[in-house]
Amino acid sequence: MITGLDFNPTGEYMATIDDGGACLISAVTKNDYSFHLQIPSRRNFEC
Amino acid sequence: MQVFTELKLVTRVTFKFSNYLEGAIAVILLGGNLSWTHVKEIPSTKLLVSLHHHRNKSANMSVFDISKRAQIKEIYSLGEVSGGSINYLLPSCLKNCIFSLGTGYGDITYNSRRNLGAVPLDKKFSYYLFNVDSNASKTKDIVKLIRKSKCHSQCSNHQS
Repeated sequence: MITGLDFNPTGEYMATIDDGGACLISAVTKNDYSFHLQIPSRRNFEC
Repeated sequence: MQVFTELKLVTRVTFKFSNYLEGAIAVILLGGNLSWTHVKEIPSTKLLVSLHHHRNKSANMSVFDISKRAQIKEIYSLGEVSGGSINYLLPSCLKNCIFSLGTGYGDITYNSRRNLGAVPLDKKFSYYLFNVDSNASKTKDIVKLIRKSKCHSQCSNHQS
């Protein structure tokens, strides 16, 4: 599930981040992505 | 007079907790309903985007023309997007409360250079992409859904 998104200034690319920490940058007109970063999960933290 | 049903919810907010779902985005849960609303003005236009999410039930998006204060008009509605059910297990400090979320937390972004707007609404697609032409002669041409961007293979496919 995408939790945040934004365009680059020219509107050609979209950056998204989902609830699993996957950050992707892709062209808005294409289905493939040009950059991917998996942010480590913080699911196991203790209160 | 046009009534913003989503905006009416804001007047009944009971703040529960925030910023708690994997730290990804701040979420404000409205009293008892587990629903929340994003409202954003499209820059350089008299258009207002209202995005409403209700935990595991649905999400919907509408665009309002606010150029005439006495006659606010809904010019576009995507309709209701149904949500699935994703269970979230919260840590012990919150008594292992489990709740469901199927249509996301909601977000809106807009690019003025290309008049493009985007919102994430459900699990099937990363985001819905819209073209916004505030100078269109016909109301139905102001906001148009032009693309539903599929989730990429690298998107997380786990259920948090």
